[in-house]
Amino acid sequence: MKNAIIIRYCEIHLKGKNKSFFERLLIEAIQKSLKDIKHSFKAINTRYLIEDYDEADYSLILSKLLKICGIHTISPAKVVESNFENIKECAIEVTKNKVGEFKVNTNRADKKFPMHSVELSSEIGAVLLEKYEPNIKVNVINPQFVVNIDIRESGETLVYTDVIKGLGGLPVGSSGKGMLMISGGIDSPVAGFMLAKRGMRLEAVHFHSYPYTSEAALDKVKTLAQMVSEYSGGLKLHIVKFTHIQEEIHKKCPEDLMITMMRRFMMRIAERIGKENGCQAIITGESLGQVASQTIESITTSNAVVTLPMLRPLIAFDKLEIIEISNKIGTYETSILPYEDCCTVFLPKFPATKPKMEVVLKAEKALDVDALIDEALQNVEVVTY
Amino acid sequence: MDKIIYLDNAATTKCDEEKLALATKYYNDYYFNPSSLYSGGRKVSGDINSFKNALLGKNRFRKVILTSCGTESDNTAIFGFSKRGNIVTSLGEHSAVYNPFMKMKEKGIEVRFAKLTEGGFVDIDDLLSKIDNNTCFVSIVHVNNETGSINPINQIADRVKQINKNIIFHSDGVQAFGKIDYLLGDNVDLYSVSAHKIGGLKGTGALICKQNLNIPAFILGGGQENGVRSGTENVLGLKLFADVYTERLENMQKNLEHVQSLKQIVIDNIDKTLFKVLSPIENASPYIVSVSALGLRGAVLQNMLDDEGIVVGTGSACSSKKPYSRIISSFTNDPKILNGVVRLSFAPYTTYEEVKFAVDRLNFNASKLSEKIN
Repeated sequence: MKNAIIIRYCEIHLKGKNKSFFERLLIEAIQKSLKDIKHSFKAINTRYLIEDYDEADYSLILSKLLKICGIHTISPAKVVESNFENIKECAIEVTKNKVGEFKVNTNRADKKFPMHSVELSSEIGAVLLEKYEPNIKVNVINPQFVVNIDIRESGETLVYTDVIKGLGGLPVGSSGKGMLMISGGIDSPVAGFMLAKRGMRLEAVHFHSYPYTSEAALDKVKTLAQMVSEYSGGLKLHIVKFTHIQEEIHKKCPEDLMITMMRRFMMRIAERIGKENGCQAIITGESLGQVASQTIESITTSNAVVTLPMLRPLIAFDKLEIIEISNKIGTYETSILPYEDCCTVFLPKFPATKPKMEVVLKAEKALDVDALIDEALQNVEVVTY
Repeated sequence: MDKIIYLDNAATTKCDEEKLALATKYYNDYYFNPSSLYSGGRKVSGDINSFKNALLGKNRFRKVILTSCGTESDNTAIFGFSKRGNIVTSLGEHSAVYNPFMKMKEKGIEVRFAKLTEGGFVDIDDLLSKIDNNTCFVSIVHVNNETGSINPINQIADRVKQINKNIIFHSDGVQAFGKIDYLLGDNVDLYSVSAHKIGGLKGTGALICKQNLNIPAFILGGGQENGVRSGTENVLGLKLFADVYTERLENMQKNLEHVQSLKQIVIDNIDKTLFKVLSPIENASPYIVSVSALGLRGAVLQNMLDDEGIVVGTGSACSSKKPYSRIISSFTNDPKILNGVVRLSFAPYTTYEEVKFAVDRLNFNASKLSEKIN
């Protein structure tokens, strides 16, 4: 009897002739994430099997698999050569800590196996009952757990009870590449995660306003980018020094438009870096109406400067819903560390919540937009995760 | 590491390398467990007593409970004696006192805060008005860690106990110990001190308490520290603590004069059109000078100076949740002042040239920043 981990996908089943493209990406993602851990990898039809790993690495492997987009469920299983005695032993083993109502479900792909599936299920059920009663009880209609017996054509049988939910979605790389605008707050890492889950490869851009914001704030962004990269199978973070642009806007433009103007610069720079790096979209963590720069009017004025599609996965989410996902993916505690993520030195007391396009365009005439952007782009730090 | 000008000595100061080498030698030579009964153990145990005596200086009828830091000393005092009725402190306390008080509040003990006056002194009349027969514990910081103001703790303790003699009086002396000259008065029951502020090791602190005061035990085990805080003693830390403190005591007046002149350099040279000096001129520890860059942000200046190799402190960590220093904001509410707090704090080895240069750069950068954002 040896241990194995069964991996299943979901949405890829719906794919047609290009299914193998998605499967290949998923296999690559799994292999990349487990590359430093001893194991063997096997594909059986639409499932994958991780075997020959050290038992001590089990929770490490599981934690890695739970961060791979495209995996639907995972089951720790026992594998044996197919015969009744072996299967019985495995069933006894996987049920040993279980309590409640159960049933046995047999899938007999190997038609040479001498017992029918119903026959085997009831035999194994009887064995388990005898061994573990009164902790367990049979209920074939609505069981609390199922002992699954999967008799493969290869002559091996998998036995398992637990089914752990994976991230779902599509394997990263199946939906192109996007440029995530990452701030250091709660929302942007969640936005990045959500697009990664839909198969998008990520790069990220952060605007840093040293000395107005601290190096500690930048370290926090780097930590967040690293966390997101665990879901996106790596990530390249571009850090843009934004201070001079902010100073120029502050000096030459109306105070209430500070944030609108900043956003327009950030979008343009994100698009420039994005296009240079093959990104097909820009991703933000904007949520409609959350702050002054996220009203529909503000979004309109900032959106106007770019041609790449803007993806805003959180646009209709409430803050609490975003926090919930942030907690789930593990970024929340870092996001709420008390460093400023945007420079409040220049924060106007009354930011325009409904900036008008013509006013913005007129104000922007005071600035040499292209020169400022060129200057910012000359000094970009890149960190690869 | 490149040479820097380090003016954040109230946060921590450089370890005395020479004394550390001596202490390390001692530690290696006498590695015995002080609780063991063979001669080596007895030797270390005896030495521990002399080290502790050294920490008492001229204070008599006191004992030393070794702790891991000033914060632990404060916590030991507060949680040990805040048992009933109400407990009183000031708004000028370090978080190591403030947060335990807030915890006691959660537990249902009434907590009262005395106001501060300009410069960060405890308003003594306000404090006394908050003391009554139900008060069981009072804690007042000796030297305020943000402004340097010195509270007359002996006098305060006397007056507090005139109202209610059963009160236990504690003072956080972390910024005073080894820096200013004083003798603890009879009515000060407990006094917290820390080693790394005067050249000792981080991870070493002590609670100095009256000989006859029974402190409730909170770490149980082998019965070390009179049974109050069990665990094999931090011999290395204690030995170094005693040595650096002894030296600080010997050179107290000389150091004070030197550091006073450093403070004067700041006061004389800081650009008064850009800065306001927050630290009091008199009745204050010269080791700490807080100024505020009016209308600017202290944290930004800190970053700008850091780039030039000059390390200064700010009122509090730049934080969006808690933008202002709790202590400074308890005696002024002008956001222009609160935003701009920069703290310079000195060590005996800090030089005139360093301070003069730092103040010049502070003026220069504040003026540059002011041009950019105003």
